[in-house]
Amino acid sequence: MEYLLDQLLNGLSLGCIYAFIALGYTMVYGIIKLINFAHGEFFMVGAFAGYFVLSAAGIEAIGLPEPLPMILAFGIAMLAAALSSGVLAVIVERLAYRPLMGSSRIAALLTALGVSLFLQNVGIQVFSAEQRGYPEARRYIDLDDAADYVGQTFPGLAYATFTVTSPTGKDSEVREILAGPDKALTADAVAELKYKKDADGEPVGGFYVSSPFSHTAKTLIVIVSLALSFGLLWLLVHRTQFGRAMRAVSYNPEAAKLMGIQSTRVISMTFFVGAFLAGIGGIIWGMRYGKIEPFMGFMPGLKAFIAAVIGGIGSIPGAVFGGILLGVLEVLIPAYLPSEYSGYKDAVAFIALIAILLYRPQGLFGRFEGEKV
Amino acid sequence: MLEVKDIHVYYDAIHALKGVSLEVREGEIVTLIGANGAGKTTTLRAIMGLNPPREGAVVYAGQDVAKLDTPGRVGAGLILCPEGRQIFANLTVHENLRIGAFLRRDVARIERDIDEVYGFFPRLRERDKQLGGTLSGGEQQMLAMGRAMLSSPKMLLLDEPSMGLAPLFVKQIFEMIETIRSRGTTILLVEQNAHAALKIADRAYVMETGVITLSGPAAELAANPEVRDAYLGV
Repeated sequence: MEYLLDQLLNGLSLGCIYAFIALGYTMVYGIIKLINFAHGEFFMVGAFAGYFVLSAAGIEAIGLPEPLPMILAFGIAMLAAALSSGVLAVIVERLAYRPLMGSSRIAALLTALGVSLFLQNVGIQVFSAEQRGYPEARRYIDLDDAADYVGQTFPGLAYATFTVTSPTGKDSEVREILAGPDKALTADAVAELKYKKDADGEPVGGFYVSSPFSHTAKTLIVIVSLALSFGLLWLLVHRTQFGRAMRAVSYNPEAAKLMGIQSTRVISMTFFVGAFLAGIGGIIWGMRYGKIEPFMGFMPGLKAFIAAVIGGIGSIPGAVFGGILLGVLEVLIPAYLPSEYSGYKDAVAFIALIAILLYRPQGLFGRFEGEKV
Repeated sequence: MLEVKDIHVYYDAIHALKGVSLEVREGEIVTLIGANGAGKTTTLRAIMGLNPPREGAVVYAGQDVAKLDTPGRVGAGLILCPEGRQIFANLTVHENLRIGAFLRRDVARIERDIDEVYGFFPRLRERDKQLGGTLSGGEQQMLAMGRAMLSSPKMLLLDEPSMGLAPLFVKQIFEMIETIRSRGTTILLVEQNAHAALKIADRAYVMETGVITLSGPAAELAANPEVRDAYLGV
């Protein structure tokens, strides 16, 4: 039972990430009938933007009580991730897709594939192809201030990283836990740190306090963020002038012009909002799975596309439902199969795609249209 | 108010408008009648910038509008209520009206104006939250007219507002057109119901295969034997 619950939570958080990505797929398809295959790369760039902010931010404790600085750091990183993805999407739309407006769908589709490959390769050039470990949302405490924390326990962990040289002369990175929820920080531990060096031979100068949230708590945060984003998106689409304009352009671009709507602006904004959500998905992915690299957008992007098709492409609730369903299936099915099948995890999504295309091609929430891509 | 000067419009190789000129003065109802395929809709689309003329000019409120795109023309008060209604089927009746007011800044008055449209067409009020696509043809035409009114038109172009409607609806729509004019909106009306159109119009133009063949006061054209023969079915 506990195993089932754990796997269910894992599936839900994976599904939430798919949902975050699928929303952008479905919104862009809804408005210009384009499957934007570069969407997975927006997600990747978001993950990298979050990475750089979290690496740089040893958010100092500006006198705030314990978990707040962490939440602040995470919030800033998430915003940076979302904005980077959003801005990139606006640029891509302007340079690559807008000139093709009015040309055949296949031309736009191939361009989207091209943009996807292009962004992956730019990613390699800019970020290098190496996998990077994702930093945790953590707070840096300088040794000068450490005295204030002696005797305290921490909801997360307090730890230091430093380099030790073995008798054979080989350097290796060590992570030492100084304190935690059950273990108070001691003056001795702080005193010892003064003699530790980092990889460059400099004194370490301080230690980190990590996120106080448990695995389950993090999953719940992810679910709540998705619910919140979905709620805000729903309000945007159904309760604002922009949302009405979006739906009008999606239904009949020419009639929308006759209402005075600049459809190019609405389309651009739709790309922004969709990629903004993918950026949030990117940072959650990084925090959750711990590794990022420039090709990371490919598989999740493809899965999210499948999720959007399952939900009914063009449907916003469909994207959320399809994403969550796919994430849960993808975790639960291999979890209950003999372990030699665990390598077939990715097959689940594709089998689900084939099944939906055979039995309900318009998707679970979609209305039937004659022709689709 | 609106002057169309010798415009030529092409669809690829097809020369659809071959030098059309017409004028609508402030406060007038002018009707443009003619057979299917004569180029009436194309003329309205050219005025709105949806099919920009290759030659000739459209002058609105004293200015050549060539530099304005379609939304820009809408912003200047030049509104087209298009053929086939073009209701947003995926928006509710209320949202369709709201989107008509997309460019308006006087947000506080929009709800009041919507209420007024509902006063004219009580059936729309009953269907306030229904999707536009679920309305009957007549209701959709009312909605299209209401939506155009919400755009605060100074110059309203109406393309076949009575097409396919039951006689009761046709009567309501024509009453509505006169009401809109009485509030200071100038109207260019394209109609195949030439009888009704000539009755409410001040002046009229007759169009055949891309050119204007006749023009004059509406009453005069209504009495013209050629017009009576070809368009009034008498």
